[in-house]
Amino acid sequence: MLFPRPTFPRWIPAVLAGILAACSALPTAAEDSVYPVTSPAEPGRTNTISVRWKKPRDGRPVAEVTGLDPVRLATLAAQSQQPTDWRRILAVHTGPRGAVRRDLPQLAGDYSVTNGVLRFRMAFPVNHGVEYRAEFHPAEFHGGGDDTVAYDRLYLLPLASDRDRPQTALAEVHPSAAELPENLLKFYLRFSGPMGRGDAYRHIRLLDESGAPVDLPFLELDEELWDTEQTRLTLLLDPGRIKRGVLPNEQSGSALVVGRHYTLVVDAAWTDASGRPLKSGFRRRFRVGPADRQSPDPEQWVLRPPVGGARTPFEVSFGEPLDHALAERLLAVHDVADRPVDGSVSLSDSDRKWTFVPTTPWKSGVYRLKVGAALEDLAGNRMDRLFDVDLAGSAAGSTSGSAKAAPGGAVRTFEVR
Amino acid sequence: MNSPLLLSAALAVVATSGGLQAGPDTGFRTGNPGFRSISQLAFGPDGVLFAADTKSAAVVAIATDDTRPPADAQPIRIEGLQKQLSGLLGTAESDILVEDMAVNPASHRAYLAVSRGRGPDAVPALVRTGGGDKLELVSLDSVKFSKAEIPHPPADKVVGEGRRQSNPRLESITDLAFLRDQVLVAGLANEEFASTLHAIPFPFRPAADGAGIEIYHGAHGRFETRAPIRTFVPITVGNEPQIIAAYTCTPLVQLPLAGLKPGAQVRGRTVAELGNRNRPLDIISYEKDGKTWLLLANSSRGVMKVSTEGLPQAEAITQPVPDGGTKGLSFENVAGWNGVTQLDRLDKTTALVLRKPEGGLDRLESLALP
Repeated sequence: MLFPRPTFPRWIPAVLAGILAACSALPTAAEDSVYPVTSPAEPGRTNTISVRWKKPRDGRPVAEVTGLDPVRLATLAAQSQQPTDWRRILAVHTGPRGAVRRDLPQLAGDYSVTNGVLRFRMAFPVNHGVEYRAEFHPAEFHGGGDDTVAYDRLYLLPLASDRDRPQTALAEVHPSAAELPENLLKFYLRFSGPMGRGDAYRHIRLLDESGAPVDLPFLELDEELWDTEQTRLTLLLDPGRIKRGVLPNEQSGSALVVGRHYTLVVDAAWTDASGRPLKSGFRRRFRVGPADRQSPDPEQWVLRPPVGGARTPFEVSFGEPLDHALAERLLAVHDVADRPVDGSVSLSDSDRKWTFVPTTPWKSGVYRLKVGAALEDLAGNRMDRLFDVDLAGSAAGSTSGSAKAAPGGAVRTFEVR
Repeated sequence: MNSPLLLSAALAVVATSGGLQAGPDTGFRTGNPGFRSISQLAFGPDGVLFAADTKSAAVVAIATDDTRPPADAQPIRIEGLQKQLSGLLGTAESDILVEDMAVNPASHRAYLAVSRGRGPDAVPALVRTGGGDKLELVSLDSVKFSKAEIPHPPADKVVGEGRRQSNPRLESITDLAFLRDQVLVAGLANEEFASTLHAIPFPFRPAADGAGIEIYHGAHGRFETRAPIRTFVPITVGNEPQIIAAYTCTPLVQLPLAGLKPGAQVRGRTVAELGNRNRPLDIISYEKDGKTWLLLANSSRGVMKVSTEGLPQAEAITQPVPDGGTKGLSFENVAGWNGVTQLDRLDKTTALVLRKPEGGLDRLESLALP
């Protein structure tokens, strides 16, 4: 028994009234049930208990029960603060449409009693496509008697915007060069819309020349390295594998072997943020070249200064592909007074070339190209340090990188005439 | 307690000097911490829960006031955890992601970080067990909390044009642990290969210093590694705080926490090689028969029980171990613990595991520590 039996004559629920509405064509489809009851104390008076979902103001709907005996309600409210008690009186379950799951926990939310109305407010906003059913149990309220429930359903159709939007596609994969170094560190997968998180590694494979999947080539992180909008995934090749001599078990070795071809495969079953599969799968074949153990060196870059008086592009050729995201973010043009110049940036030639178009025409004078220290090449080598550190020093000959101390980054100047 | 962690072997450690201040109440205020995400959980003393918010680049300490076991404590066993959570949070089962699990040592309740939704607008939720198969939402509307922001590297910049402008750089908080008076926060960026370890004194103080310390993972042969640690557990060896960290394929590395000062270099050493072709998923430590043991869940071998006996004197493994062999600290495979993805210590004799045995439902259950 949840509450002590009331000392006053119990109200006896009468006939369950008809269902007023069931309309699935409307965005809000509601059935509600009105509940006439007669008080033995006042036989001439019929009271009506009604359960009804109220449209949410902040996305969190409220189920209201009205017509309750105010004395009984006040007594219960004074007796209990526990949500578990209220849950027996006003039970809220969820489920897919038409299939309410009573075997699952009731929906989280807050119960309150004000002005003779019992309310349940969802802890979270309503999810389109999920049914919410609020049920009033009179026997639990009255402490016994008939338990013909009154209920109301809330169902919002899946958002039309989700259905009508074009399917999400895998728009770009970087790096895109035909040959990638044996010690390649990462791929970026950029999608045309937000993707769903939690399943990425099940949908990405690296195949060898025979079409067999390479064993554990990627660093699989529960977190999945997305950007905040979940349109770009960073896929790290497991550095524990690609590093030379890192692991005691060396035969695991590199995922990629020089001279061989591999295919990066993304399957179309991967679902986006609204649960729909990708527009199509993706395959890209590439060749593996020698490991890159050289630091990026801005001194070697070829700068093609623009012409003054117009918004002509300023082009920088790296001589090698660099990390797409970092090259996009870490290069900037400053004027002679060291003020950043506004403009748009693009990368081309498989991330070997960086192009900057200023928002306003170039003025004659000296400009600076500033390069952030965190810039990396495809193997994670920075200007100031290689990804690998050779304890034997350069005498061993295998790290030929020209790593320079450049903790603050690098600067190249150019002149606009 | 933790999920695959990414620390690089070259770890930038942010340490701030200063001693321990007593009590979980210091610096706490009441309100809604305003989580944008909850990715990792760890418990400190007195029911203080640390929750990492990757999207806000912050760690929030919450005084749960959950300091005693429930009166009607029953063994925790929840079949179909994801489905149960979908009912509680009012959404489809496919929209539930369990991010992390941690047991409150003060109450033996498990706390779960859950995402309601899989898209960028997913709403974080904190759920706890109520004994047996019960689950309840922890309301965050009015809690006692204290927040520490993770120092962000500079050079964040928006890219793109017009409405496509955004800053795609994000540093994920990939693991979290509490040891003595500090919260250890591991992170990994989604652009430059920078994995960091922040050691934040608790109670939190404003303006943590952003200076870094590099930790080098002991080399096997000639090369220092920047390989990523997958999961770690803080333990005390002798009286020295240490991290035991697991890497892919599967060396265990010991890193001393003492002497972490900005600018210092700390060298970890490999103390065990547990064989190849698997991914470590989670690691805990526990005491049994007067000894300290490690329990390591991994992708292909179930759970391994590792002895820490001899850890203080253990020789670093510096030579390759051929043919997928094993070396260093002794270990055994624990029979029957299949499909474990999350582990924590429930009490002195029991572990709480989240697992999905082949062909079965995902479930949260307690198992006797081996």
